[in-house]
Amino acid sequence: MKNCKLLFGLFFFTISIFSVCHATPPISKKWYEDGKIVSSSGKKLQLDLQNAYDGLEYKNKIYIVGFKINSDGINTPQIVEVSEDLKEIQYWTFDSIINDVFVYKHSIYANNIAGKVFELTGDSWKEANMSFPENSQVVFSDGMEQLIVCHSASAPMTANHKGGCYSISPNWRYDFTWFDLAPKVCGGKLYTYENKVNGGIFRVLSLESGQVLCSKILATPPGNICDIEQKPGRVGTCFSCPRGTGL
Amino acid sequence: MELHFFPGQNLLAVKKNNVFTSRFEAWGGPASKGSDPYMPEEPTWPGTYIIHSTQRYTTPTWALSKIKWGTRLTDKPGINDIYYELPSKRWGSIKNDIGVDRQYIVNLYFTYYGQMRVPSTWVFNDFGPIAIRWYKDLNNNKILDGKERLSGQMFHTTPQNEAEHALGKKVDIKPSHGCIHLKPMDRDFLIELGAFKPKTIFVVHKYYEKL
Repeated sequence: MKNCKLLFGLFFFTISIFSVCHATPPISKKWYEDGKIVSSSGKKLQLDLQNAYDGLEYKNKIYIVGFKINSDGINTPQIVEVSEDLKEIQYWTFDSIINDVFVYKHSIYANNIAGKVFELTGDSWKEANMSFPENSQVVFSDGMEQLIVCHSASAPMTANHKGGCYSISPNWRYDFTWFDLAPKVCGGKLYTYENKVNGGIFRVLSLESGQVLCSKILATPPGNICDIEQKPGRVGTCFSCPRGTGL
Repeated sequence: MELHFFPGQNLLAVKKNNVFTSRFEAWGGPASKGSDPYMPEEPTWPGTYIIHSTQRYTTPTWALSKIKWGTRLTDKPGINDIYYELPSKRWGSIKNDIGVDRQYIVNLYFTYYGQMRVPSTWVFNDFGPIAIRWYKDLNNNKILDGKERLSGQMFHTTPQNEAEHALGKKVDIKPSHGCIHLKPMDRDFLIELGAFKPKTIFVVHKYYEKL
């Protein structure tokens, strides 16, 4: 679950003061990977989904991304919108796998695994006039102009192993190969781990400029990329960080 | 019997009694170092080698190749995971051990087989069901010993080609990182022919050499 996507609406003032993704608003509902939602009052709802893997709360609604799985094991990609009181439910079926739902310029968007982006307009999803690279996920959105998208290298040996992150407004990009450890915003900075055949390189990037604030070679990937800051000297502090970067 | 690979022609030939008797399409690495940022492609190194063995290959270098081809899977959608059978017969987590999401596997299977589902067995090992290993026989005794090591380059198929073969589609071989890619049906035929028997002589020719 990506907490950084929950920071919209009434929290805009907070965003303007802090570097966004670290503050966590009160979560009124929780969703689970088996397609269950529990409201703050304890009310439970089992969606007609057998697998859920991404969610977003925005303007008193929750959006869940997952699969409906039939008795033959065939998965059908779905996005579900659920109202705050869990009474109104809207299902949308897609013919390609949805990676992510996110907010951009005060609207709800979704991107599929191939990089196609859809915008929720009224009661339907329409193809947006932007696209991402394959295997992209939105790791940061301020809900308005800025969006940071990271795209992983494909896992198969014969596929493309170019990955990276880029920002829209302000514009910057940083190319590096990552497979499974997704970049994450921790404490207002973008934490990344570049996969090498042996070990990898941990880097901290500025959200505003994409500039590398510090880096460190690691023998093994960290379990949680944000833990690198939280366990100084154990997993590894960012030794080459300049003063004032908080590391 | 000898095997001869001509990387400049994407050609593997079987030689019997000094005569080339059969030919197969086979793709090696590029003639010069490639640009893959994770592991640059390299030429299939020319030389004379000895076939050592056929095996279900695994390697930690490539996430999808950490699991043997054909390993049993159990879908766990309710916890957004897939379990795979360990040699101990217990179950491991694809998400934790391999680092790929369930939806990634569903999509990969869809890409290869056209169905959005979790397969019952692992069909994503980059080296296919069987890899054929070779080594340089430094002391000419046809035994892997002393300072001799198995080459990191090997004959194998790819998951995509295995899927194409299984679905009866045209098999479209792609260049490799240095290994030699074969078509699944050619691999099976060559095994039946005895071309990959241990101690068979295998020659990788230079890129400019033609048959």
